Amino acid sequence: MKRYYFDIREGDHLARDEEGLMMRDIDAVQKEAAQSLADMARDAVSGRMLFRMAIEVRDGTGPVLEVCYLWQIRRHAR
Amino acid sequence: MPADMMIRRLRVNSVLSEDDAAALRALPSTVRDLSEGTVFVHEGDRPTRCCVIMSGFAFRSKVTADGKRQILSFHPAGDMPDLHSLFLEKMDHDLATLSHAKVGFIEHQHVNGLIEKRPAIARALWRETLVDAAIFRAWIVNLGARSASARLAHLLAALRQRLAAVGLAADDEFEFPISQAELGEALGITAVHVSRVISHFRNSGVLDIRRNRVRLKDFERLVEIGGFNELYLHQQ
Repeated sequence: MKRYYFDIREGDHLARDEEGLMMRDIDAVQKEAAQSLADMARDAVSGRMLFRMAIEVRDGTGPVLEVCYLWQIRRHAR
Repeated sequence: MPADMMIRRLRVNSVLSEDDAAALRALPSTVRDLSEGTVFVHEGDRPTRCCVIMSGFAFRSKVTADGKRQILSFHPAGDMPDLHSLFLEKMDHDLATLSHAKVGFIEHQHVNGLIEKRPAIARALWRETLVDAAIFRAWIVNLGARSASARLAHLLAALRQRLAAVGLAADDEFEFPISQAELGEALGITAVHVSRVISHFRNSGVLDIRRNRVRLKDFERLVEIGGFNELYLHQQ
């Protein structure tokens, strides 16, 4: 088990994770990050629309992984 | 005595005479100190006794086929979270401690004896299971139809009202010894998402959760965010 920090980027704003989470391995980190981003995207879609969100994960020494999503809506002119 | 918190809890929803309270106090019971995370009733068990939470917190949960745990309800002191085992033979979920907890156990035969002799107690226990079901209906709406921040707001507003009714929340502050991972298991979101929601609430001055203690700084705002209406708790 090792401590990882999940920083959250919403638009231009980066919220730094000060506490971190103990995770088993990098696969568990990826799963937590991806699932969290999907959760947040779901809320963003029905609330305040955010077209770019990302989770940047680091450990004590530096960045280890990043997941991001881009949301696009195109209305066709009729 | 497990009976004191139980009587306090039952009197939130029902009228009990001093005779009824004395009969509850006379129930023979065994008290156990359980450490954090102890599953003390398992799915599939055939319990022969009911439990009363005397201090600390317990929770109900179920685990899916792929190992994911869903927390179904939280139970502070005074609650009797396995009353249904009086009439339903096999447990259909687990019951565990969230923190170090003191739990009293009362043999079914003694509770059944009281139910037969004292209709007011029978009605009070029945009301208790009806309110329990109402809490589950609210939980379903919370998980199925609200955003993550509204889910947490609703959960904490409801918990505050239930704790205040039995004298366990003063000045909008109460003990709630829970990790972010466990909150996630209750709210159907990840620990990282829970952490983000809490830090939003902290930054906007709505609430703070630190070292197992919840501080509600703006209860009205919390009620509004969670769409919380206490009617379903039927507290009199």
